[in-house]
Amino acid sequence: MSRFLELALEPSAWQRVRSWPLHRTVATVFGTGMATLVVGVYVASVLKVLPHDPDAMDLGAVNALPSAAHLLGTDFVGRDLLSRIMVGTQAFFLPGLLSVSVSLLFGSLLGVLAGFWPARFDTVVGLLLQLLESLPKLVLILLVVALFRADIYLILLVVGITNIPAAAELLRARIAVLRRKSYIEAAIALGLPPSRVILKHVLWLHGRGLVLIQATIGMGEAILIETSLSYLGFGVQEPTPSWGNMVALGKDYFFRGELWLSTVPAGAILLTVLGFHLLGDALLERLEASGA
Amino acid sequence: MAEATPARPRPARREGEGAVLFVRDLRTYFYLPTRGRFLRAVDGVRLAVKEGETLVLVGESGSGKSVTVLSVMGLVTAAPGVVSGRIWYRPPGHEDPVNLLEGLERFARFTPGPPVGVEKDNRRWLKWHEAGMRERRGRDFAMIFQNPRNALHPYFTVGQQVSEVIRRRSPELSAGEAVAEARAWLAKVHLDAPAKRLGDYPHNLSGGMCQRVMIAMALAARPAVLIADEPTTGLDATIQSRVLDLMEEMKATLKTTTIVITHDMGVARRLADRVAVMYAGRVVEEGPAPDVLNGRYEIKHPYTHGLLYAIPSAGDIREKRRLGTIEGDVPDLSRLPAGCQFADRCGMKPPGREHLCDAEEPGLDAPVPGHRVRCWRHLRHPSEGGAAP
Amino acid sequence: MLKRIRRALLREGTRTAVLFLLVTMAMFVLLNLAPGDPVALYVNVQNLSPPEVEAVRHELGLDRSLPVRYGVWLSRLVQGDLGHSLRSGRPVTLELWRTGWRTLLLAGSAMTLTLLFAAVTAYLVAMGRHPLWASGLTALGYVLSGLPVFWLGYLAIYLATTRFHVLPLMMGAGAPPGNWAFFLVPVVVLGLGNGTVSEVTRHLRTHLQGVLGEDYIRTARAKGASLWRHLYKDGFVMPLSSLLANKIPYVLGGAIVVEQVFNWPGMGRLTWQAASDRDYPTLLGVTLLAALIVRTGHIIKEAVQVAVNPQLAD
Repeated sequence: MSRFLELALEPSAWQRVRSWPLHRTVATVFGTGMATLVVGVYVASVLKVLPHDPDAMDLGAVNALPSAAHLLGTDFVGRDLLSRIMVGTQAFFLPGLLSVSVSLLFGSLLGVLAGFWPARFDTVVGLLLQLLESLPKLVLILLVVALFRADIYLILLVVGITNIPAAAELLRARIAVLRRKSYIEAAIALGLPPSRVILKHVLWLHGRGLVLIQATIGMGEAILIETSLSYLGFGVQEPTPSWGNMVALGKDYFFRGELWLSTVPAGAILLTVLGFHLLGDALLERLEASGA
Repeated sequence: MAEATPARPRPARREGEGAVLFVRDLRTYFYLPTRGRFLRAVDGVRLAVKEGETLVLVGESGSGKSVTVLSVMGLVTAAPGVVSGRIWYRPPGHEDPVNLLEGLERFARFTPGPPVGVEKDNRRWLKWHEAGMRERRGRDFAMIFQNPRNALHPYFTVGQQVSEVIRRRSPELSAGEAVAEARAWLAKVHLDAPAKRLGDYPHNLSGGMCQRVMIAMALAARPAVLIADEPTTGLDATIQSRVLDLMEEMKATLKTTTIVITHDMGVARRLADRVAVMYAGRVVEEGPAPDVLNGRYEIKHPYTHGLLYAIPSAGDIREKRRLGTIEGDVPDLSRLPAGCQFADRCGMKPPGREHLCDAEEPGLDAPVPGHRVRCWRHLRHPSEGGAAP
Repeated sequence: MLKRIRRALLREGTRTAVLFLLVTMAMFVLLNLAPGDPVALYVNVQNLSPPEVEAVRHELGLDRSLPVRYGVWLSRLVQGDLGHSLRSGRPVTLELWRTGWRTLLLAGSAMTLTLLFAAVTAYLVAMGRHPLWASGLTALGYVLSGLPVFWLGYLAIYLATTRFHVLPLMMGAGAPPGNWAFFLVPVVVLGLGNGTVSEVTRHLRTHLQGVLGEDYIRTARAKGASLWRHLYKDGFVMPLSSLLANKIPYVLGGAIVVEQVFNWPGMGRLTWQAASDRDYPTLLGVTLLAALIVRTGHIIKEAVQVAVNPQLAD
């Protein structure tokens, strides 16, 4: 039985949030929390605020499970896992931001062009989109890695480039819908310069949501790609920790029944990517519900 | 000696005598979680349709006309949806009516308040209700909608969509026989080249043609009750007129019991035997069409009066007189006032008794048999003794 | 309907040809941007003497201008000559043929599993049936999309070998036929772990909810007609075919990792080895084949959608 209660007065902001469906609250809280955590951990690791030296080997406490001294245990040469996890964020954080920035910057540009002058740019954007969609990202990345070098910034730059058409398409579609809305027509009819209309009404109001969505999804993707690459042996190399190569290192122990070594970094990947996905989806839902 | 008591309470025979469909005290609410209030789309509606009669439900947008018929059809799925009421349906050839909302009390509890409280298990109610209604839809009840181009399925041909109804009604027919009957129905609604149209898709047809197809589809079910929700809205004026011609013809030949919903008084004039006027989720006037639609008839609700006088006459147009209007705005359905819903816009309050209008909402009673009105002008409050005003 | 499909196939075919041209151009540009002697891209310079290297250089037209080189390269390409693997010496086309169908089998089955999972979950959520199952499956989908597929592979192997004993302890090279677990486990891992599950589910759910709100569904309900019959084309066939075409690249990429984990002798593992060995001809061949597979997916999607939706013909 669901109970519906009528309130006597206008609901407060708190009551309005309480009216959100459960899944949206959980998603937003968890997602925002994870995103903040990742940023915090990254900054801490850069400032070298770590519980232990990530390279310090303690051969007396090898493959240890969590304890007071090592909150997440140690790896097969006694290095503290928590510290290594924290430093692992450096492998994807800045490159991920690069990827997201590139796709957003050029994507927005292309999207605006295609949205306001569809005659000239639609086919170009569409063709570019199809071209880049035809190639699996990992295949392309491996090709780049073989041809050039296994530099994570280069790789995520490539990823960013491959995401440009997707970002452009998102913005173009939004603009196409908005253009038909009467208030844009009215604004232009009233004499407002089109550029100002674009900037204020279109990009500022609607772009923010799209930027956030692209950023969250982009970071999630960056993490998965970086970890897959370092798992395959192409990204960050030992002894520098990356969540991907940490999982790979724990492989033999895993089959022997010592699951902890590979599971800790996998868990880190899961929580972070999950957080970004949930946040992105919650934002997308809100966007679709309000504007579309 | 003990008297034999009836096994279950009998329906109010006198009130809905001879009615094919009798809606009693129907309430359909929607909940707005962000505002913590109910949208009272249908707030205690009483309607009766006799066999072979055409009832036209008139009112502006938001008056609750569509939600009323959707509630009858069981097509309201949003929560909480239907919260109370009875819908008595007497199938043709039967003596006793059935309550289509049978079992609602098991799933919904409604306290009128204020504040209004609803407890409902909507999922289970819909599952329960659907089991019964699914059988009736397309057999006892048929419905046509506005925007016919969107209402027809874009991936199926006209022939497939009409045959589907026929085969459901008469499963013993073969596919070929069903198609043949479909073609006959298309011809009956004066669709040109019916044989060719069978293979056309809705996007090949114009709006008017699509509406004819919808009408054919609904009539092919041979329903006991036909419901038409704004059948002419969205069509060009000339097409509207032709569709109304068709509906008049169908009314004369098939004599199906019909409910038509419209905001267009012209449609009411052409099709109605009886008219019911709705405002803010309630019926405010109901009676024979010639009386309700006659601006000078003595019993009239101020809202109906306003609607009728808003339509300019030829003389008004010639003399370029100002259009008649009804002052004020339609009320917020989530914040309805106490007293008469129309009070703040009414210019015809009974002299000396205006306090009644703000204090208490009148019931839908009949000062004259067969014509009901919800207005203190024509009704006597229990506190007042003596004859009707 | 057949006429519509024929026209759509023709249209998509020409588009594929154009796109392929662009892909080859892009590849060629990429190849030539790489540092080092371009000859090294085609032959293993360490195994040949300098005059032999020069002969190859001349034969491939590498001493000529860029457009000429592209022409030579492209002409060899359309004749089916993708060069020879720098590692094994065998023709790349042969290697691709040998491994390609294994990956197609793996990826195709995995993709089917992904779409099935997403379809069931989206249907339950959109229709409001079995809310507990719906929420559970949705949550599971999110978790699966966040888990790294390689760890999921480890877990699956661990469970299959030690707990359920369906696989032998040593995962040797090759996939002996007959043992269904050898095939099923990687398919399940790739199908559920390729990272697109939650996105596909969400997409399908939103689409379904949109379709359920359409006027013609309301009419179908009012007719008492079968809801599924009116729903499945627009609600399932259309979005699933689009998703199939759009997500194949992700599944192919995931196959690289999964094949490495399970030692599955497919195109993915070939790619990984080729990247490690800097085997450029093989890598290029793989890229082109992948693009071809993706494009084929799009062509199938177009054909299906045109067959289902009569409005697309015009």
